[in-house]
Amino acid sequence: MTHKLLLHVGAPKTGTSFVQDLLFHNPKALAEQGFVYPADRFDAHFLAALDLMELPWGGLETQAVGAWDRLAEQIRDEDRTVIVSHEILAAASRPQVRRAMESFGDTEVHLVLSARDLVRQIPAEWQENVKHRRTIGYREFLDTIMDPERSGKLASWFWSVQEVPAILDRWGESLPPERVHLVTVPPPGAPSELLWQRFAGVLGLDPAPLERGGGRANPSLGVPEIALIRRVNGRVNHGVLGGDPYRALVRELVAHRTLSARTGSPRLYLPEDAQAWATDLSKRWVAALSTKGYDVVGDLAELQPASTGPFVDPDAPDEGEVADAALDTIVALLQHEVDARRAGRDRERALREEVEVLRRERDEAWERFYGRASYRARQRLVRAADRSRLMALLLRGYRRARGRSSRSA
Amino acid sequence: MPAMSRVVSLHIGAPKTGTTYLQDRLALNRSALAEHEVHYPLGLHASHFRAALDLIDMPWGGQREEVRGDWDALMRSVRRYSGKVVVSHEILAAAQPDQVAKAMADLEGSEVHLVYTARDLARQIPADWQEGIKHQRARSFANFVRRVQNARRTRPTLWFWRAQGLPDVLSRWSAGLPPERVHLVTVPQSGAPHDLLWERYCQALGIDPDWAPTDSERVNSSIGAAETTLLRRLNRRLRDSGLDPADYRPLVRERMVHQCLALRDGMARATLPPDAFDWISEVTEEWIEWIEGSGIDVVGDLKDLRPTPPADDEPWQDPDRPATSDMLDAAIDALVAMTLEAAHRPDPDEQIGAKIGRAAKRLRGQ
Amino acid sequence: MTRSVSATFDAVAWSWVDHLRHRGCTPWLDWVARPDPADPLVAGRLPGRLPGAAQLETVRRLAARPRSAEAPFTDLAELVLDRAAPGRGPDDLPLLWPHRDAREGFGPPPVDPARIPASELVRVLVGALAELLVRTPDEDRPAHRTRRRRLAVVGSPALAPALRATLGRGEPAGAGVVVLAEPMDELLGQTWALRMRRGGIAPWPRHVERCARTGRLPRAADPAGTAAQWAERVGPDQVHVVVARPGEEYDAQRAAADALGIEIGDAAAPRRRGPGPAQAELLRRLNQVLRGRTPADRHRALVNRLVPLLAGDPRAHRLTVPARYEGWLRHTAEQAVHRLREGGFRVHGDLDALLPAAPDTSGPSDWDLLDLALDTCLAVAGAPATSVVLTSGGARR
Repeated sequence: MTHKLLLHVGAPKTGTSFVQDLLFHNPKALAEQGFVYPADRFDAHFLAALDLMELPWGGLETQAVGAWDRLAEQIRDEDRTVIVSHEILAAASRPQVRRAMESFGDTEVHLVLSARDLVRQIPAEWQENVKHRRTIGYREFLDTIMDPERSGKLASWFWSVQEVPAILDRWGESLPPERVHLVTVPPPGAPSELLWQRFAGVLGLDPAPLERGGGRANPSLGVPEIALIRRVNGRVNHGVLGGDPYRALVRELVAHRTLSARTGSPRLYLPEDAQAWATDLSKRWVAALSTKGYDVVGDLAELQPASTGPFVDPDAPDEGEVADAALDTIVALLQHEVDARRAGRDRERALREEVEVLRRERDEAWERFYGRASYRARQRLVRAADRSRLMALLLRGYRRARGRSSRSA
Repeated sequence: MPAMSRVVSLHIGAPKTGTTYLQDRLALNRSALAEHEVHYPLGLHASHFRAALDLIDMPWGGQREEVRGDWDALMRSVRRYSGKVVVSHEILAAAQPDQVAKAMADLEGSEVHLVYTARDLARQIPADWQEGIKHQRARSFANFVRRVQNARRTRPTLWFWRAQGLPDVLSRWSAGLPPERVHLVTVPQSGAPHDLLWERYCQALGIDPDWAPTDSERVNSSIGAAETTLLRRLNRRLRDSGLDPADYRPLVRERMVHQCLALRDGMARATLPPDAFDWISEVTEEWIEWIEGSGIDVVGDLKDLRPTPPADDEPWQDPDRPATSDMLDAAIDALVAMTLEAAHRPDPDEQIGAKIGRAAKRLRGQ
Repeated sequence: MTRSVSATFDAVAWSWVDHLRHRGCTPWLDWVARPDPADPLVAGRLPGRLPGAAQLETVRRLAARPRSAEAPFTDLAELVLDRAAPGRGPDDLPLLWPHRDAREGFGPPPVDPARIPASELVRVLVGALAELLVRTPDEDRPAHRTRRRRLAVVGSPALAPALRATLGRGEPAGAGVVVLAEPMDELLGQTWALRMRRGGIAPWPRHVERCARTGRLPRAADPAGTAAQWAERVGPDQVHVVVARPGEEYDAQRAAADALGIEIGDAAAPRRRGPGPAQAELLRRLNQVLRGRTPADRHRALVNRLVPLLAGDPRAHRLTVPARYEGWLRHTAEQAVHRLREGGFRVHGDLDALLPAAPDTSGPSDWDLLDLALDTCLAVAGAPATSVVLTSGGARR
């Protein structure tokens, strides 16, 4: 009996991080149920996707050499059910999909795509862009994706990861429709566990034994917060701030840990024209999807935009609110800096204490030798013993200290 | 050592009258001045701040303890020289009578002169408010002005009057000094030639300005109203999160304010509300009367002490309510500066490794 | 799997694919407009769907190049048609069908392949090039020739090697050093091209920005700094600064020979070594793909293999510095000229030539890059080691 592969290819912002977090942190629970999520690091499937699609990603691609073939080999050699999940796989073009399918050998491939209504997806995509250093305004972003020409990298990427019927058509090209599973994200207000239950159902997993790993939730930011990041981007792009500090400071510390805590700010929705266009497009998608015979987990109607909210324009935000968000951010950065300096000082103090101990031991060595042999012999002995023992002591202490000290967050 | 001919010029203030510039210029030209027997004894420090703080004995964000003994050390330094010795720090103005007495006793045997630089109250009040904000205070401008207005000016307890109350400061410090040894230097109004203050200062010190030709390149570290209010709001939040003054100084005051915000273009300064000018003028006239009657040496022009009232057609911008876009702009600048600071922090492991390496070398006797 | 295009479209399209695979170069819309457009069932169809319009157009343009006869074309065409273009950009573009809307209702809009932007075709070619290079086994490279004598000719990465080769044949008369100086923007461009040669991926504007922001020029673009360093070792009167403007290589060589006291007779003008701006840009895009496909040392070896096959004339273009750095460039060049003048060095030529000329826009266009990419791809496919692999039907990626 051929084993199964459950290939979850997207879409972004549909709870994929949550799923991946659970799968990565529960290998035993998965194994007990006959599953395997073959990943030696959290981003293993991400690297495999980068390799498959020959996608540069800020230098990370150098770690992705050969990653797809390795993953495919693992999949072929497994006899348990394999789960693979990463949301950029949705963007794979037809030749890449063909290559992927061929690499699975005679595994029984099931495609899983989670999808959320466009009215929630579009603002989320723009936000992702801004968190990745883009400075494009919201209106310009909307105009770009609404342009039927789809010219340019931004538009082509957006559609490649969001256009549900096209993704299913590409990835499902060689699959019977009953092996194409579309999981719809419940509307806002639905119980938070519902989406995960749907996933678990599709995967065939009993979710109960699985535990969260420590949360990589990426909550959405409000309008003033996104506007703030966008303005900061304008100031730190063009060589002012490198990629690594941007990721660690602007995306992680500022966006994910500080600004996302400001839950009272206005949320981002679509303006009227984009709302009408998105509603219309969703209708056409739903109509097309309902004729395909895919396995729908949830309800196609959930892809129709439900309620929306008042449109607050991030291109012309309330400056007072943005200033407020900026102040919170400055405080967070200050705290971060203070903590880092304190950690450095503590470490330094500990090492200085070690040096003190060594100094004391040296003085004791002096005392012992001074009382016995003749002066010159004493001198020689002291120096020789001093040097070699000291050397050993110092090296030991130094190595210990270096090994202990680790990079602060 | 017998009391040789030694003149000590004590420049005691006021704060926010260009004193940093004057002290910096003295420091830059120390050797040249020494050739003319004019001494500015700094030792290893950058200014007489530590000695002054020791004398006036105020907490100062935890720094009081670090400076214990520094005033006596300075006095010992002073006593080693003959000729003219300049001691300068603007917080000396706040000294209480017993502290003044101690200072005078320490300088027994020298001919003591007092120098006090003074600027008009309309500029001093916003400047002192700003200085307080830079020291982690969070009081609004309106509140600050009200306090200044209501506080007593004789035997004052409010910092502002302790340091800026001209007749009170000079009376306190000049007890026992003949008036011709008290020199009041007026700071010129804006628009005056750059060197004018320096020339006047030299005149008060009794030195030739050409003895200190190297000019200071210090940039004015003052910020505008929007920036000050931003800082004030930040201070309020930092109070809740508890930031140590020892951390506040390098990160906020130095990095964020002096190295970033102070360099912004086109900042609108904080100014007094129009209705405060009558009261200010009253006080100023009192002071001018006092000065004229005191017989002290005035270097400059007493008219400089009269504030320039604002033009009728210029609307007053309340410093507590700056334009939001100005504040946001400043906030972004500050945010970016802090991000860059965090990003450019060198690897602490490397630094520590280097230090240990050096210590180890020393132990090995290399 | 439903095919929602009409049978006629299908037949016409596949017959065009076949035409292209056999070095046909009729544009798509012309093909459609022929009186008898389709052969009903064409042998040699590739399995699966129609290749994307960008891939098809790329093959058509390959066919249209004069060099297309040198390569095993059908195999090359199959490689291109079967691959996705690397990185981001529009993919799987459907062919425009003028008779009716052949759209599925979703997916990218159909296009006229002749109107696809050059940069998209270059993207396809870069992927194909990477694939060709990666598939070809590494050859054993001959041991690096050891240089016979150390000759101090420094500066100008494009010119110095050739000069060293010519001058190396004679005996130097003293301890002199020649520092080749060229216009500052020219030198900056050469240092960037050199970085691309060594696997770099920073675009030209970012290279300039980095230099401007850090205030540090790469050594080869800093004749004043280099001259000063050498002066510390051998004394300023032994440092000969030779100004070499593009087009004046012969005179520069003569001046360098005289300065070092070397007899070179009637040697020909030194040839500038590439890569030129367009080649460097192609290498840059290729590096982005290769670094995700091979480890660093193999990457280097692959680029080394490619460089001799790079098409185009390295001297055809000149890079211009982005407008906002013009001021910085001028200032830096003026400083360099001043230091060179005041350094006590022996100067041969007019130092003012180092100042940047009025900016012109002779930098390579996307179309220049496309032609270069097409010819390079053909050259690589036709190279003996690669063509063997191609024609032996190496497994599809």
